[in-house]
Amino acid sequence: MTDTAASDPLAPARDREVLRRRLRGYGLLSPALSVTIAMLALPMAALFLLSFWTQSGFELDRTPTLANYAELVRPSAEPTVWFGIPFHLAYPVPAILMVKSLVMSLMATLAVIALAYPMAYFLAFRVHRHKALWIILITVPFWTSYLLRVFAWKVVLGFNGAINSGLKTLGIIDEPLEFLLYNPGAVVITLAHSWVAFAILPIYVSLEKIDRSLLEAASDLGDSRWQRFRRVTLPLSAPGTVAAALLVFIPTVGDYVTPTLVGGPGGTMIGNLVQDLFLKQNNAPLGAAVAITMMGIIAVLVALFLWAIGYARIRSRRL
Amino acid sequence: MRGKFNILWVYAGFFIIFLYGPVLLMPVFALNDGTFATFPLKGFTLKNFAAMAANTSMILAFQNSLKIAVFVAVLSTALAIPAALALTRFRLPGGAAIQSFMMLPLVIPSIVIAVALLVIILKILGIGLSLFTVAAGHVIVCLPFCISVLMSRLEGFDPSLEEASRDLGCGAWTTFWRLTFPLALPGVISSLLMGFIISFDEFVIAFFLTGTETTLPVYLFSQLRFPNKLPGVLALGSLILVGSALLVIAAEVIRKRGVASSNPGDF
Amino acid sequence: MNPATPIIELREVEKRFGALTVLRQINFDIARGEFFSLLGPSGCGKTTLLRILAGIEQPSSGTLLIDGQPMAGVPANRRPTNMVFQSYAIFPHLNVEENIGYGLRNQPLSKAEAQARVAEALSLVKLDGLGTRNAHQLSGGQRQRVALARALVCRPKVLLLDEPLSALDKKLREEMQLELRALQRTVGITFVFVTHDQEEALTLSDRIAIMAEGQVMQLDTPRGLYERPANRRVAEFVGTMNLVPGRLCGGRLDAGALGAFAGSMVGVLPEGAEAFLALRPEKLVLHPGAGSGGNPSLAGRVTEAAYLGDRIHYQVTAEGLDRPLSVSVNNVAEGFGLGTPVTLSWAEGAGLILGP
Repeated sequence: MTDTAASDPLAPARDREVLRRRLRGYGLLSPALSVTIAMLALPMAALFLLSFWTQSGFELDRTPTLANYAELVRPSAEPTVWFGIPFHLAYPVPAILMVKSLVMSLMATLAVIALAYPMAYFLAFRVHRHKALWIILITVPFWTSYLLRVFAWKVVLGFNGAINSGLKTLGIIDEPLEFLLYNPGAVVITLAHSWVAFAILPIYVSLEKIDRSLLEAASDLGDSRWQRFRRVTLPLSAPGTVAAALLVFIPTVGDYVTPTLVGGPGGTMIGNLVQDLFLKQNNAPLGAAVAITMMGIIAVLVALFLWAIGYARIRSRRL
Repeated sequence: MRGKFNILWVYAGFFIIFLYGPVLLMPVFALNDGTFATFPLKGFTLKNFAAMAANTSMILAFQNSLKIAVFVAVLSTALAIPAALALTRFRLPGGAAIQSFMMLPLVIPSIVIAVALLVIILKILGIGLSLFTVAAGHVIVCLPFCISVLMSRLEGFDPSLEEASRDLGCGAWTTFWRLTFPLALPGVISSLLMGFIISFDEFVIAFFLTGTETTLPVYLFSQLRFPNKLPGVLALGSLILVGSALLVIAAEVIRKRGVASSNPGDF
Repeated sequence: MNPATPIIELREVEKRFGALTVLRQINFDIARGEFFSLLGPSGCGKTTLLRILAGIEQPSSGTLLIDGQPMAGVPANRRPTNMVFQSYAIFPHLNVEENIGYGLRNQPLSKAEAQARVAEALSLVKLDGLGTRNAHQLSGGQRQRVALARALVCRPKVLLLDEPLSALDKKLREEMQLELRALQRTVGITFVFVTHDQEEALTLSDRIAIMAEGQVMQLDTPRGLYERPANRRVAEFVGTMNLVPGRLCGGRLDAGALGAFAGSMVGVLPEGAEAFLALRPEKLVLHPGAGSGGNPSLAGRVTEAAYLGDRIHYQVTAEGLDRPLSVSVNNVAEGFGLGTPVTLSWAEGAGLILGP
């Protein structure tokens, strides 16, 4: 058999056919790919490059140096204490904001999953009629202006906002509650509200894909409803839930709009620092270093998380 | 059975209130005849909406946003169609890696995309900021969404449809125009609408990359600082919310309906 | 073209997907106007071969001629073949007429001519009046008819059918079998039909190629396949066959303790080779009691009986045989109870001697 293949005079022509088809495929991909390279990969590379330059006044010093990164970790004998954590750094703002952003983003992500999972479960197992309508109802808010949705919370929580004026009208309080707005809690609530709709879909899809006969089999083998949920439904929906958590966590760490509008001085995040360094302090190289460090830390944390929970195993488990 | 059923339905009700409540307060206060967004409501008025007609800088920003959004929707969809075709129809070595690469803007915080573009535009290329730079930034965030929408549409087809078209005498080009494109059309429209909405509503990238001319979200943001501008902001915000909600619903309905009627299994 | 030349000629056609060889040494001709079936279990390569005829797949080596023309490098859209897909592949965005007229737009026809052809095709498949129905309003049987009309309307030289009846329920399938056969006689086009259902292939075909593991095991008429299967595998695939294993010894099958049996040899087997005596259930005669039959015969006991109305099927376990023998008798004589000792006999020439 093999010697006929080797001596087949038409084999090169067929290889050419395969090659031509592949070339056509890459040709179709190339416009979108080149745009992504030109407008994402190259700018990211430029940002990376910039983080090794320095700003002196209005001039950009293009000598490659690690000075910006060194600045972020320059030690100091005098620790800055934040929530009982001492930061032994001469310029502690980026480190503190980074930790704070990660904590706030993590809280928002946990809140999102806690809110989204029951809703996704409801959509997958309880809604039988007008399913498409429900899904549209859930997803529409995500696509409407992010800026306005965040601003809406300012209207709700503000000093003269809906909650305060509503409670005052009802005679429950005399003075507006000041703790509602301009603090990390407001940022977490707003972030959770903004992203919850986005998180429902992946969880819903992984629940919907579960073969209903697996659930019947679990009941048949003696599981109660709760045992069945814990032993079958939850593990099988883990890939979608993890994906949802990451889809929320990664972009919210660097969010800018929410802390700016509802965070106040106490609720600022790392994104505000990046904006400040680029547009106000005119220190783009340091801003670039902060942005790159943030991306690096997120990437490492996500990788560690996926490794810790054995994500590859969880995903491959479902055939 | 019954009890569990009810608890989840009650939860779903609260969830919808949580999801829509804050947003729906905006049109409520916009129609309220008062300077602050406070209870009790004072009375119904349309004056906040009427005032917008006289606001020239807002109208200008609106026009800019419209221009950018149309341009971005068309360009991203035009780029996404061949890419989605290649990713669903050709088994390309490295195709999965290329796809993940093109989906990256979904997980990079937009502020990082914004400053990266700012760096290359100002420090490396040395071009000035304009509506074009905003549009460029928007294309990169819209592209992954457009590709996903189109891919999910194209993946739904029975592969023998294209084989049947070839078998009935159509070449690759004719097959595309007579079969693939009409079948993908709901996806194409959905992709255009998605691209339009994302670009029209996008703030962070526009905030960093606008020159002298602003877009509507940037204009809106600049107004948020002034408490006396609040009624106008609420009115404009309500209109934007209603407009984008309608567009999203249209996009979703078109996409879903298309999928339902082309399912080869439903006799 | 010369009507004597075959419509399809396959020479040394092979197909490999990477390291996997799915078709090897395919060599046969299909005559003009023939109803030709490719029969085999799933994964035997029959669909791949059909797709090679259609031009959807390219052979890895070998040549294919259709109507005397070499097909190497001729894409699906320039071949004189049309296909009825297993999923029917009805275009969901077009109605019935538009689906049927799809291929005609690629032919130099006036609008009126094309319309007339579509109408003619609609009535050929008995779908008159349903021309403006949408694809998703059709039943399974109607989709199948649209797919058939859409292919036939292009007047192909060869119509390729990929398990077109497998999605239909049993009753509809039997109806469609008859219709398909009648349709093929009406239009006179060569049909190449892929199926895994041996009954369907026997009912419909002029000739059948039995395929297994990418090779053609036997190519013959239905009668030929049934009466002279080339080997044990074909014999077991087409109908029911009783097999007595043994070795070839002086032109007879030596089945050890059971004795030596004569039979008509199929093919050439070397002396001492592993072979089987093959007996169809209806060629066997049942006699009550042990050792009462003539020669050749086997003794055993009835272990299973199935009453089928016009016939009764018995399972007879014979000593020295692993598997029970199937016997089919006319329901005229008195029946045999379970456990009854019986003797099976057959006419001298009724048994075949087959290789594995």
